[in-house]
Amino acid sequence: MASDWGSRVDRGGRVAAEGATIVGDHPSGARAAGERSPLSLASALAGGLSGVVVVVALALVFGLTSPYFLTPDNAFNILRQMSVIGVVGIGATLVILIGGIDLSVGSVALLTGGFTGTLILNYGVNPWLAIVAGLAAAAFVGLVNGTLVELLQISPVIVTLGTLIVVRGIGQAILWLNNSWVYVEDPLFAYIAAERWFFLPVSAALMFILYLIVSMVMTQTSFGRAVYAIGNNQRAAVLCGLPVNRVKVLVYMLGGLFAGIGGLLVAARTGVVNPTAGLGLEFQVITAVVLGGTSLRDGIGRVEKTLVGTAILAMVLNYLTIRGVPDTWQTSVTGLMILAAVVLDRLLRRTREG
Amino acid sequence: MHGKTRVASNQSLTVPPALEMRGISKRFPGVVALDRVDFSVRGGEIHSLIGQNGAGKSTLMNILSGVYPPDEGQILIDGKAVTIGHPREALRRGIGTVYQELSLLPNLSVADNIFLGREAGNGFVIDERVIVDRARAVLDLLGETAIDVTARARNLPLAQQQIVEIAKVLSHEPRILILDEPTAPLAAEETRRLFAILHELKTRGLAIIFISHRFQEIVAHCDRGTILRNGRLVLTLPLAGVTEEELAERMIGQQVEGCYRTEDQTRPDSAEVLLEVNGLSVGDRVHDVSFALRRGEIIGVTGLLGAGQNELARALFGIAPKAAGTIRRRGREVRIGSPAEAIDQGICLLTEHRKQEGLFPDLSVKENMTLPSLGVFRRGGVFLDNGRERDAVRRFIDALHIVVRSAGSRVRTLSGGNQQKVILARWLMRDLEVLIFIEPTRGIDVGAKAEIYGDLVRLAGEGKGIIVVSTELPEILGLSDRILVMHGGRLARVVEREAATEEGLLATIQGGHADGV
Amino acid sequence: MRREAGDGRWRSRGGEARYVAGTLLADYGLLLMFGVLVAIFTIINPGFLTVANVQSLLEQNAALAIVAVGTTFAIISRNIDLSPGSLIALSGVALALVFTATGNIVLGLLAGLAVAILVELCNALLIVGVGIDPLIVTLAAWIWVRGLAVSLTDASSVVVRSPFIDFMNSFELLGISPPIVLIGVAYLAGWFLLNKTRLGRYTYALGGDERATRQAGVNTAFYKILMFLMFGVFVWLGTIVTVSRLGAAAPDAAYGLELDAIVAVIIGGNPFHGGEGSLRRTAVGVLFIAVLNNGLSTLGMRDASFYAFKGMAILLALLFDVLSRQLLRGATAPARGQAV
Ligand SMILES: Nc1ncnc2c1ncn2[C@@H]1O[C@H](COP(=O)(O)OP(=O)(O)OP(=O)(O)O)[C@@H](O)[C@H]1O
Ligand SMILES: [Mg+2]
Repeated sequence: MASDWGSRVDRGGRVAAEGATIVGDHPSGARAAGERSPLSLASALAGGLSGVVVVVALALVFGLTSPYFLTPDNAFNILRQMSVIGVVGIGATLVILIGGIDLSVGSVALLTGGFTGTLILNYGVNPWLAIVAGLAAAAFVGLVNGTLVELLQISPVIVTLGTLIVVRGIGQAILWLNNSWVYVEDPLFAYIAAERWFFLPVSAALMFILYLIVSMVMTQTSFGRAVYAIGNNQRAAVLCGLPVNRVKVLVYMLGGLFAGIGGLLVAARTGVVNPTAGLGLEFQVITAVVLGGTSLRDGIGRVEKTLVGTAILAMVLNYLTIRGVPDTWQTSVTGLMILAAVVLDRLLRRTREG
Repeated sequence: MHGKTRVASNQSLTVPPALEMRGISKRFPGVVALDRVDFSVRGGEIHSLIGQNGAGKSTLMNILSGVYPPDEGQILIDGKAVTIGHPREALRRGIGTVYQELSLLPNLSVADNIFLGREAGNGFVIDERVIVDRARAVLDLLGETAIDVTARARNLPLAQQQIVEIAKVLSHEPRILILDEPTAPLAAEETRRLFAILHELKTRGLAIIFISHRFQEIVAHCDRGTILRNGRLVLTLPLAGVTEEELAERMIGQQVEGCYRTEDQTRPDSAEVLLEVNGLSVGDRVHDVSFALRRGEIIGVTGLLGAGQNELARALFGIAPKAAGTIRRRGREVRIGSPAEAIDQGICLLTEHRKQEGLFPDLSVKENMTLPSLGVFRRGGVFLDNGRERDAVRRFIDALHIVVRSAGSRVRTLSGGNQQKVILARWLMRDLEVLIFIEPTRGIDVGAKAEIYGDLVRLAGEGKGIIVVSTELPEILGLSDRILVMHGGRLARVVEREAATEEGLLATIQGGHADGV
Repeated sequence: MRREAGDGRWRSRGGEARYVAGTLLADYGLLLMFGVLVAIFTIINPGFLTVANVQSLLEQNAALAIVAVGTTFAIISRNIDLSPGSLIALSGVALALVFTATGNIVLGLLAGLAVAILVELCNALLIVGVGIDPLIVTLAAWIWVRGLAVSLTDASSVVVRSPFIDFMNSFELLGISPPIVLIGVAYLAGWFLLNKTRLGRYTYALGGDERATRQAGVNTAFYKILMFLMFGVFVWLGTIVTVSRLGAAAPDAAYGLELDAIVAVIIGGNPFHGGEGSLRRTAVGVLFIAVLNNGLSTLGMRDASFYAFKGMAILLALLFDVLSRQLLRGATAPARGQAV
């Protein structure tokens, strides 16, 4: 009873009057509905705030318990760890905003890294051209996902689970051409791994730039509006004359594209593509998106928030490593940390919203 | 009957009212929805709660039915103070609510919906047969023998869903019955039957709270009324002898302008034909309908619920499956297979399903309004011009008197009528040539209705063609240059404005063919 | 008036007819695919359709079949649960550790049950009490529960040697072994709960519209928690068959089981968005996945190609399902997002 009452209060406008009944069938999981549209700046600031509080709190706790945690060196490490999940998370957020899900990102990362690496290594293709080819392959997987989901109306969980398996198979087959390991020693990749832009590792700088661009697109263009509209009420979007199918397929393609970029960043950082590259990436990415506060159901959320989720995730993983937590305990602690972060975020929102 | 009422009112002098709400306040972020409102209802009366869109009616009722806690104030039932923390508690205390938005579960059967939460059986195992029998009995009591209690709720037309909703609440045998705009989706016949039931319940001593924007119903059937304005109590008054006009004036605080178009605005027959429909059929719902819409003309389409008028309108927007026939736009034959194509042809449609087909509940008023018109607000081909967009939205918020804190508020937080205005504004803003509206003023208060009628007339004057599909006869009669009456999917009769009378229309609507034809 | 009423009734029956046809295809379209699959495997491998192989097929997939019952509830009510695979591992570890410490199998079994129920209770409280999305709660559980299983055993299996395990593995009557009986029990219990009790009714209601359900006076929090606890019991049954089969509790047991269960539920024709569905469909989906797993492995396929084939077979089945349904509706099928 008490808990029931609690959830009623925290959902604020959601349980609500007729006003709230509009699409009232997305109850518990959804974030407390503020008064503002998810696109508005105010809601971005308010939502971002609790996220930033969590990040700062985590940083303080970790910093106090481990002196190494807050050193610049480690900060760079965290940023580098963030960049892959962060970049892939951009596409994943868009896909989740339109009410879909993409489980194939890990396999796409493998495919892109393997394909690009093989083109450079075995066929001496110009690295830029090879990158374009790799990303095209990634976007093509997204196209397949989107087409199957849209035209045939198969649940995206199933479709992308299928492509997860099939694409990993193809990626590994490509790797077998090179005895299972592709070493990416091209200067371009070495540059990304070693250099810094504005005091940031190149990969992290790239990530920030991509976030800036995509968040502009999402708030300032009709494409962004269409994405939110489709996620919030697809039928109404159709009746507004939006090209719903096209937008959704495009979003899946973007999901593939960003997964591909993530795959290239992994290849650059580690200098190698092996058959396990990107394994489990989809779960990390979805965790980051949801930690950021994007709802899995009603198209509410913002791309930038995924950055906060990514930061939390990367900090937790990093902390566990530098504390030397034994490998066997790391997984369970990660899971619990993620939960703690979500609960903290949730409680912060609740107090702020009264 | 007469004696009974007198006894009831005598009692009210000695016995506390069945329900009393004292000093109720409720604030939402940035909005004071209710400000120290007092409200009381006696057993054996139908009490109307009256107010403009956003006045706080639904909020007050939601507090009573346990959806929200009040910020301040007290609720007394039979003179005893109670707290109602959950809808379950409200039901236990005998408060039954028909919410403004339908709340049936689409995949459950009618019977299961009616007894949701009180399934027959031992408390865990369900006895389905008993449920079906009881549901049948409840609906029979309401005189609804046509509804199959084992059918899934989603397969029923809107009006029948509303009846089931009412049956569901009545089956709780409440002592206090709240009806939040129950008649909005009902046509004349269903409404009449609903009131017959309410009068019957009233004689059994129920306290009935009735919300509606149709003043005709209120003055005809309600005993007392409580008027809210901007979340404050204006007054509670007995309704015997009060006219619709007086009520409207009290509610708004000023005189209401005559809202319908006047004779001389009728267009000549020589105006250009904007839209010509020939032999249009939609599956088994619409058969062989032909008509033409001229520039500057308002066509009203009416009929019994389910007579095919909605499908006809949907076919013109490319969303009716199995549509056949030809459609010409300004003389050229066009193919309309999707809303996008229809909009390209300058045709828009507002459907009666505000919740499922209209609103983006979590987006702002601004985003809801401008979505189809974004092309206009683009700057340099890519980015949106926020300033211009916001100005346009503000204009419509003012013009339609949308009660909202800002253009950035989520549509979810608006009152029902204000939500309706937002989607209406969406298409007015898009500025297309052929406007098709199904039940455009459902849930909109009389004052705003008058403004909207005025807008439609003005738009017609500016050369648009408008089709209004409605079951509300005064609306059809007041607005239309020509009236199409549908019956059983066929165009039963076309009535010119001058020849139209309420009685004549009613006869055609019911019977399918009338004296004149 | 009369005519209108009659008309309305007829029309709603017309809608019902199409609905029934759609339902039939959803239910039996996959069965057809299933037949094709069995035929293919039988042609390639004549030993496929023997009693012994069918029996081992069921036993191999007993945990999947049982967990899929709980997953059906989860998907219908839109409270997805990703933790059962990991939870089978953890509850198995608890069973094994307590058994090793006490030598009492009953205590071991109870410990397994307690762990399964406690973890699901914890999931439920976070979802209901704190209001976190079920996907993220159970995703976290998927990670930490597995991690706990690994760390408690130092990543190695714990052998369980007990007459009970022998009984589970060797007892047989007319080709029916204890795991098969447990499958039967799980489906019967699941069917009863889903169709005959409030728990089942509210499972559908929660998936349809949670707010409306609450407004009808249902204690949604209570029934949600109850649903997760019930899932805990199914997971426990899954643990028993998994541990028996291995004769040990392995920390990496049942890896990916939750996804197979979700796929089985969906591929059987239950919509992912919840609000409707049936166990019959789940059963067909489970059979399909089971035959696929078994057939591919008797063909001696491994890892990459195994997964590739499995993925493609699943997609093909769905493709067929969707296409046949669209064919049924004909060329006039309403486009996406339209009201019907
Ligand atoms: N959940 C909410 N969050 C914020 N504001 C709300 C919420 N619910 C209602 N409001 C605001 O409270 C005011 C009163 O709304 P209410 O729904 O009670 O109006 P109403 O009188 O029922 O109007 P209508 O006739 O249009 O149904 C409105 O200004 C509305 O915007
Ligand atoms: Mg209202």
